[in-house]
Amino acid sequence: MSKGYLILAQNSGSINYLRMAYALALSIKGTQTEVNQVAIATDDTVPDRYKHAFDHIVKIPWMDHAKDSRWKIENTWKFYHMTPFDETVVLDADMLFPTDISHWWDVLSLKDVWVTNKPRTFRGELITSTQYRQVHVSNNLPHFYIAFFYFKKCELAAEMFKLTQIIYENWERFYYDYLDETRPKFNSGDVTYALAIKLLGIENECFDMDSIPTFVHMKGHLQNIDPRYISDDWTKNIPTYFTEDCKFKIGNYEQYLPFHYYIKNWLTNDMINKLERKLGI
Amino acid sequence: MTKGVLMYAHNNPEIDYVKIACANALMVKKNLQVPVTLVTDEGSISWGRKQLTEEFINECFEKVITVERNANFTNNKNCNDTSFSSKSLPFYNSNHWEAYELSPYEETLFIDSDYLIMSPALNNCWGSVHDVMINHKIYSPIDQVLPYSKNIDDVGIKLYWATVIYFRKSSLSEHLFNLVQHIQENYDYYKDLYYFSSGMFRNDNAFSIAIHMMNGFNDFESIVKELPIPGLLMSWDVNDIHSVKFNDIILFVEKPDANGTYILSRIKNTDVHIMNKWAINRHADELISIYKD
Repeated sequence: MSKGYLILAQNSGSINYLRMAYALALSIKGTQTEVNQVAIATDDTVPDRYKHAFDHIVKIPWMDHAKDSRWKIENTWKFYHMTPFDETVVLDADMLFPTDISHWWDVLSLKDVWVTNKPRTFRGELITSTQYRQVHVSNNLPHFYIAFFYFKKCELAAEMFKLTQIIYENWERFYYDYLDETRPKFNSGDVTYALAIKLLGIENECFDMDSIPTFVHMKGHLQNIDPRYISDDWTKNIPTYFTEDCKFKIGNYEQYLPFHYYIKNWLTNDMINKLERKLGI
Repeated sequence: MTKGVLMYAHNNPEIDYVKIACANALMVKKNLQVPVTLVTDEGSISWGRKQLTEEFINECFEKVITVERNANFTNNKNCNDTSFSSKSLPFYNSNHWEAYELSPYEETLFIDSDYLIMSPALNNCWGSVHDVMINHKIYSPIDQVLPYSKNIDDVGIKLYWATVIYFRKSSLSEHLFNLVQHIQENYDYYKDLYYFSSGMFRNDNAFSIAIHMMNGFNDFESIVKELPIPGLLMSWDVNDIHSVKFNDIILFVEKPDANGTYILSRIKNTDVHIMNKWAINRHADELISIYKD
């Protein structure tokens, strides 16, 4: 059974998702001892200097449904069709892996689909804020975080992705029919996947214990900190220490979990250089 | 395994910590039935002997350890005697890291002299499988919430309260106290690194940093466990003591968001940290007479 990480990366305006995916792939190669295959799905041209970090470069199938979109989530229902692996962990591009999580895969393999529903703060606490999750709370939707989720090629996953596709293609109708007035006014990956899981009644199949999978979600207002003392751009309030061997502290906290930095300009060229040097590039 | 309580008492111009420690030592002996050792300085203990007699001091403490006071250490603390009175007083607390070496016991409960022992709860520490236990959870007499944790700063690390520390003589405990010494000796550096708002040296901060470092700069699995109590009951220094009886204290507790107005709160058979030192000083004689054999 092949295993690996899949990153969907499409540049948008001034945001260079390919660069972030490249850094993420470097960090995976630099830390993961067992599962370290990385696939990137994109319609953009991957620069030659990035190609070595990816084991697979996959064209987004059918057509680019996010061509006119800024948020670029319209292709996210295609993960099942894009992945070259039998078992896949889907990742957001704006993440880094500070440590080896190879041992997670033995646990993840126990389920067909396994979704992060309890991300953590930079201090490692469970996130308690529901500020960005009103629609989930109000509609009793499972807390699906698309930034890190696992699936294997199987009937259940195929069914989930099929319904997700249908919802993506008819999201206004589904949101109107199944969600109350807290429904988002845009197509949201986290909401669409959560709705698909709820409609299929497979919540218990896809979520489990608190510990894994999880990741550090760096939206400022999710850090269990009084909003008076932190802005959504957390980098204005909390410093980063990034060492030569690519370990990093946020504030005074060493990071161990997959790190979803969210603020795109957090990733500096200096960090990428260090990630490259760690791999001898 | 020898076991006992260790307390520090260094008087300042207004607070007679030795007297507070004597009252609390009697409370310890009644409730925990273990001996108490006092760490103090020559000035403080000679005043104590004059005021309370040598015989009484010996009755309170199994051992009195006199240490040199570091004349170069200045540390002022704003102390309240309710919201109506606030003073900046010298607060000599630079030597708590020495507790590991100074304690004559293999198992030690190192407590602040103003953490009044009114129950046998801490007897559950003895024989623990954990080398060190310190609380990060606290609650107050009128909190409507479960014991909670605080952080050193809004974006800072978890705050551990050095008010009560259980430790057994072991390499882990020794490392922890050595690290606290190092942090204290380089406090200006750590103050900047960990964003303290105040320049005053606090053992709470030093222990919190040491624990954080020993945990690998994270909180996933702490090397230090919680004491076998729900949290430390804190009576802040804006509160006052109304009256004391055996294991029974009635407090004037300042109402939240209404400075200078109080409700009465009764604490019975529960240990409590009375942070208004003047309040304990005012009731120390009474406490001594209640707990003295």
